[in-house]
Amino acid sequence: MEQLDTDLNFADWVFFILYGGIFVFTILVMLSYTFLAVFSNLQARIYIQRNKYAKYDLLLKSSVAPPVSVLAPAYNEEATIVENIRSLLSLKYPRFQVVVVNDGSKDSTLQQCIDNYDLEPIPFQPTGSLECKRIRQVYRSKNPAFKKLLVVDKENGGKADALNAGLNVAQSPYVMNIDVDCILERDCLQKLMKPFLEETDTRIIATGGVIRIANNCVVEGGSIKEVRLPKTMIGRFQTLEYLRAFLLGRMAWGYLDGLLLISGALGVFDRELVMKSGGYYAATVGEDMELVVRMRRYAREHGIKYKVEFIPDPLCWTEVPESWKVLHRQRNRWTRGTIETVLLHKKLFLNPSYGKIGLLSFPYWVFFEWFAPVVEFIGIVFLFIYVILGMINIEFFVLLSAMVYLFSITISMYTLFMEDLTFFRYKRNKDFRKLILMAFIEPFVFHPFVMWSAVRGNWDYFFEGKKQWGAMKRVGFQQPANPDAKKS
Amino acid sequence: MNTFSELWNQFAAKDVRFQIVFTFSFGLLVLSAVLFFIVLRLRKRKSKADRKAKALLAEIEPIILALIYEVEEGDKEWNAQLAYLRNELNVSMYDFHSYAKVSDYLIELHQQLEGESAERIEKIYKDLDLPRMTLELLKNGPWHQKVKALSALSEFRIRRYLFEVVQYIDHDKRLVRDEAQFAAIVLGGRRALSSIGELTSPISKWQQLRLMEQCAKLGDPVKPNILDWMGSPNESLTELTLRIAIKMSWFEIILNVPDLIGHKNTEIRRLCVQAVSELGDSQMISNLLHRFEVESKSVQIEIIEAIADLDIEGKHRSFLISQLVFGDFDVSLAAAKALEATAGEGYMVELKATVPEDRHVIIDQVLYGAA
Repeated sequence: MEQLDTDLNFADWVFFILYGGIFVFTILVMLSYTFLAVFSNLQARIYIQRNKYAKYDLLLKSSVAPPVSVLAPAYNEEATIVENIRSLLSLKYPRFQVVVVNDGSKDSTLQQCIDNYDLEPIPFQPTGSLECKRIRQVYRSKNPAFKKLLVVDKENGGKADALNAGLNVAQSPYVMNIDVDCILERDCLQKLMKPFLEETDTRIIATGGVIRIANNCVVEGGSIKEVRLPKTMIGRFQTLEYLRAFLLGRMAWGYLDGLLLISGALGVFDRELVMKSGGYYAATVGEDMELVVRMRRYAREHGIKYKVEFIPDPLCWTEVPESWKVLHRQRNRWTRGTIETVLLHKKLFLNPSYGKIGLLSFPYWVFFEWFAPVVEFIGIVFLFIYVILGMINIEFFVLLSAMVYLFSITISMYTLFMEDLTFFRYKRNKDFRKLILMAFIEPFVFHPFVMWSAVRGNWDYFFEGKKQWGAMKRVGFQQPANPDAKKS
Repeated sequence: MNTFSELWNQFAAKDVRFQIVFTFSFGLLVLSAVLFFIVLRLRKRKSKADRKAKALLAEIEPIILALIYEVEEGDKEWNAQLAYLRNELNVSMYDFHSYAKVSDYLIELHQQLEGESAERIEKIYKDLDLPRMTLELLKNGPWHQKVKALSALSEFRIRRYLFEVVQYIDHDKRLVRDEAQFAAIVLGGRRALSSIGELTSPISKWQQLRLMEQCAKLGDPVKPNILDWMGSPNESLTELTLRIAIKMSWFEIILNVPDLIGHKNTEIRRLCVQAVSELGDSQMISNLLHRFEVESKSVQIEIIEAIADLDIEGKHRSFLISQLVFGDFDVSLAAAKALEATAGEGYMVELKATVPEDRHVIIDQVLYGAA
């Protein structure tokens, strides 16, 4: 009998710790979102006030504009590579080169480039010495109209490896790393380069921009002509999620100068610092975050007064997965990338010698980006167990769930408020209504799915040792209606 | 209300725990509802402001275009139309958005047009009494409106406010002082240059670019005023002076190079080398070579490029060859390019046979034009 009492006490303690711990964690997550919301608002106001009257065209005719190498890794992109290169070559910036790295594509990506851009092989010694798979050949166009284009053909080694090859070949002090299938705003380079020219006493080591979702948008001549919501529910969920991530999260971290992630789809980097800090780490699937963390760490350890700038303008449009399976793989990979980066740089964790990064940004990523889905999952599992065992008051459980649900809706409303306050891209009322609807449904459908993918990511990382990237099937961007086709 | 009290009785009346969570939930419900209505209002307001501005522009645009292209300046119709416009705007002007829209519209037109049409827009801007409102903004508005006001004053060349503009050229807010410096040069020309020479705040590269373009428009007459800036302890001003001198081919700047070539600021040293190269003073090459070994890589490459530009007789060819053979990759590549530029392709082909094998690819790279 006495033994039973002790067991019960122990169970009570486990219950109390789990229940209390999860409750405190939930409150902390909610508080962090609230702070991010406040800081993002401040940052948005500052940015808009600062740049409303900026004349970016000044750079176009300037000899002061620093040269930039645009690095575009391509793997099996035969369907779109020609158009994508054309779009890159038409960027509005006075001094840039486009370096397309064919990462051992199995399709005709390279041949498409050779045929359409009149390429010829040239002897080339890369200037950098970052580790990467063998470069088979470098090509340059015979046509002077494409003199800015350089195509590097190398053995397959993954995106990070291809970017390292691009960094080795690049000849400019700044590099813009992009996903070749993204649609870039023509003036994105001017906007991303401005901070590098503006700072007088701080070294800007990287700038990143906002990524928006291009599914179902009308694309004409390589640029977005009309912004629309994706047709599928999964695409719309991601639209809301991206708005939240960029307008709240990144913007706030930009304000706090604690940005740890510049999306692999678009970012400009100080090449010298990238090279000195060792380039991309090819053994991770989260190479974009890992590089920024390493650059920040390097700068801090070498006493460089530096900054990472975030540009809130929508500068890049990308296609997101519209199948649950592909989305699952993507989120699984993002989680593994986060874990890898966190473990690689665990020295930063709560380390005061790294300043804000060590005490704020890095712990935030550990607790709220890595741990949060796992804690949430464990919490849900145990809540259900306790409900079934009758150890928890159902009414309190319902009330608590309602609070979390309402918080999620409040944050989504705030995100839409920020979007309309700043860039107001979703002008159609029906798109706005759909986004509101998504905010109501998301906590029941999309959020559990994303949480599950993250939990699986943890499982795969620790128990399956998974490292590889998943494939994404692209459906292509929507072209404007062809009036001739209509007539016929 | 009934439902609320029912919910309260069911959930919150039990204990403190319930009351806290219930209160939070209710607060969040209210907050999300408020945010929803704020977003709705914001969308409505933005759409309404857009519509209103469009309506206002639709009303005044034809009149402004008629004033620019059709009506004779100063005649009866000119005055009548302006009076009508003033009357129309008087009501709307209390609304800042309308003022901003009209001002922005005139600025946009002014940027697109030149000559007599641009002058007419400036006249319309002044006759509509917009400069007075702009000055109000400059004096009493928050910093971002000060920036807007300064931008408008420089666009329409409202010279009578130069004194007010100059007050802001060393302002604490970078964007205000940047815009004021630009406006001061536009409005004051030579008169404003001495004030710029006294700047203590650093000038970013972005701003140097703007000021350089503007100073270049003033031409050679302001050369002594700008070269005076070289005496400033403000390093960014020295950089700006070097940039302007290079752009304007002011050879006098070369006299400063021996003093500046060992400056602690790398950008100033780099610009000195560029000045030597662009202004064609081959006698300075030996000064540059003295510094070569202790220089940073970027300045070393700049020096090699200067030799490529100036060493027509090939006096420094052996130096370039030694850099090609022993220099690190970037320096070696720059030396190969310089040799190709000064000695030609044939020489490079011959040279290839005499340099170590690991340098062949660099020569090939230069010969095939990939560098």
